[in-house]
Amino acid sequence: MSAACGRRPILVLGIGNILLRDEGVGVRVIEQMQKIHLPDDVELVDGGTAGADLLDVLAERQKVIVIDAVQADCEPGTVLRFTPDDLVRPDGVGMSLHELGLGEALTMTKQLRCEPKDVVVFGIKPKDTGCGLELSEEIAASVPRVVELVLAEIAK
Amino acid sequence: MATTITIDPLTRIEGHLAIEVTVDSGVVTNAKSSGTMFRGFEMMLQGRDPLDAPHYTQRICGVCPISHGMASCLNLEDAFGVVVPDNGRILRNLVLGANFVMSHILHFYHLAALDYINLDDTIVKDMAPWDPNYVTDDMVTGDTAVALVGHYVQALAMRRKAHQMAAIFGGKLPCAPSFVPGGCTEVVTQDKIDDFRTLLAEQRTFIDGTYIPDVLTVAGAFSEYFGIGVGCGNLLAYGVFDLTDGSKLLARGRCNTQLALDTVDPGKIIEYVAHSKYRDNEGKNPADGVTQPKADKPDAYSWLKAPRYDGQVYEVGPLARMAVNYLSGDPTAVALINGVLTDPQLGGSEEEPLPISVLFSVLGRHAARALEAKLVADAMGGTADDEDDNGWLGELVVGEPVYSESDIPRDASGIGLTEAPRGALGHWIDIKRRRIDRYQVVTPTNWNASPKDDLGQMGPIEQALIGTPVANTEQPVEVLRVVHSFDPCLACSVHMLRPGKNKPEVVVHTRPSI
Repeated sequence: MSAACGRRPILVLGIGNILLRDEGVGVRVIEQMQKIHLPDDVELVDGGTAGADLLDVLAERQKVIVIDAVQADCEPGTVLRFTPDDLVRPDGVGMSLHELGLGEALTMTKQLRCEPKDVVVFGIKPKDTGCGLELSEEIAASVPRVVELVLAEIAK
Repeated sequence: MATTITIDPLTRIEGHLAIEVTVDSGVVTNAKSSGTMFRGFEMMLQGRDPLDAPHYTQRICGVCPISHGMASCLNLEDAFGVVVPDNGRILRNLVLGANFVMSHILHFYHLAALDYINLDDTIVKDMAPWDPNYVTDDMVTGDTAVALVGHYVQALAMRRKAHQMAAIFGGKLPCAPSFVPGGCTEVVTQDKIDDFRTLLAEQRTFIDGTYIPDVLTVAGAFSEYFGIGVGCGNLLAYGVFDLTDGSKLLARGRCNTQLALDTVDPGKIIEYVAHSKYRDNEGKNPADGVTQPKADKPDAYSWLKAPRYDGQVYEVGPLARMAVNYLSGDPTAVALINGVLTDPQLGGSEEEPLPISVLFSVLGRHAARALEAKLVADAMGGTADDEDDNGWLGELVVGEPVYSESDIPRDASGIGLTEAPRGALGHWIDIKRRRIDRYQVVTPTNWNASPKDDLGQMGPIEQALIGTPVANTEQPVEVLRVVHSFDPCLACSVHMLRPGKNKPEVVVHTRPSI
């Protein structure tokens, strides 16, 4: 019996640190989506800062849609759609399990023969990642647009 | 010709450990175990309000914080002279029990199992968090490997759920804010009891149906490891899980390969420092410990001190606890261990059980850990067969107090002895003018991963490595198998304390060895 037996095929996963304002935008998108009625085959998860512990949450899904803040060369509030292969990986071996993130978790699922079939990432360029619980204005304004994009992605 | 192998860092453990072994004619002839990081928790506690201690000390380790919370509360309760009400005692046992289950599942699947599995050479090559990883011919392959890897993934979910279970009464995990001197601040409701019971049932199904069978499968494929990693042959347990009748679920005691059972007197513990990076010249009991770090001390090779009991080397952990219970005649431990000793998969039978000596080994430690997970989980929920036995959950009473009020005494001393998943854990405190004057922590991995002491005796892991066969010095997986069987937790093992009236000197040692 696999870990994924009986679970929903589509995973919408918001990740980030809500204590660092826009860094937590992925989680804030999940909070908004919890207010919407979604199809039965969709599961919403607030992944927080879980990193490699997301491995079993990701395992064996048909489709994974990730929402996160992302470093990219563009204006704050810009929403980018890409796949994990487009991510630049940090160099070298880390000191601690706490440094492993989504990219590593996905590679681990591949090694353990349970990788999700299709993974899409919506990355939002943050404006302010200092301490605080509120999103900056520009990023808060982008959240409804991200929700629309995720719903369109689910419908595909 | 002898070869020296250094594994630094040794991964799939908690914290930072370096192991150096000398291999001569295919066998380990010398070993050094080094704790390579240092943080100074006791320094931070000096001068603080004693009520800070359970919260600070839980941050010593994210895998076993509850044990520190328990030890710290017991320590303060001893110093304050306060008695914990039954509900509070049981709630803390439930949170600690859930943490034991989580930790043991984590250890077998996510820390140890990959020493034994080769998933067609594609797994874990040169990739964090799994490197350095070795691939050898004796590893399990094919369908068995695929099944074990599937369980590895399932075990991640089981661990999270075990912590969800613990958080019902802990408040949150890791680091439970509900542990206070005098009891627990989470209120008992029927809903919480029911939620805990539901999650516990799932854990018990996993332990009985997946975890224990997997340990036996691996043991059956690697039965030579019942004779590898014997170690010092002395086991020590402070005991844990105080029960309503005044006994402990897992008893306090010492035993050895002669199967002699004996008592434990914390006054006989000395922490030696001859090969440890501290300034003092002689070992001291933790109640009198005086320590200053000295990174460049000659002949010192570890940030761990070397705790010894009555001048002897002792190993701590699930093996120690299960062995003490077995020799004390606990029917549950006897049945569980005899089940392993008579298991045909391992070469045993009813007529000709394996000898008890096989427990003093790599596989003995893994088996003891898995059986202990079952023993603790079953105690929490009660016997499936007996309707009237609902375990610890059945003893909680809605509406009864969960903690006792107390005042901080002006001057007092205390000691708190308990067990972390990895073994015996002690906290010592001196309070002066209602502030912490001295706080000392001696953890299980202090005992197990200790360096040589002042008497020249190697620590338990070092001793367990001696005589280990190493087939290929480029792929020393045998060394990993021995070290991992102890479930080392280095975050727990490296501390500094500084009693006295002087302002603590900030010492920062930030050169981890990578």
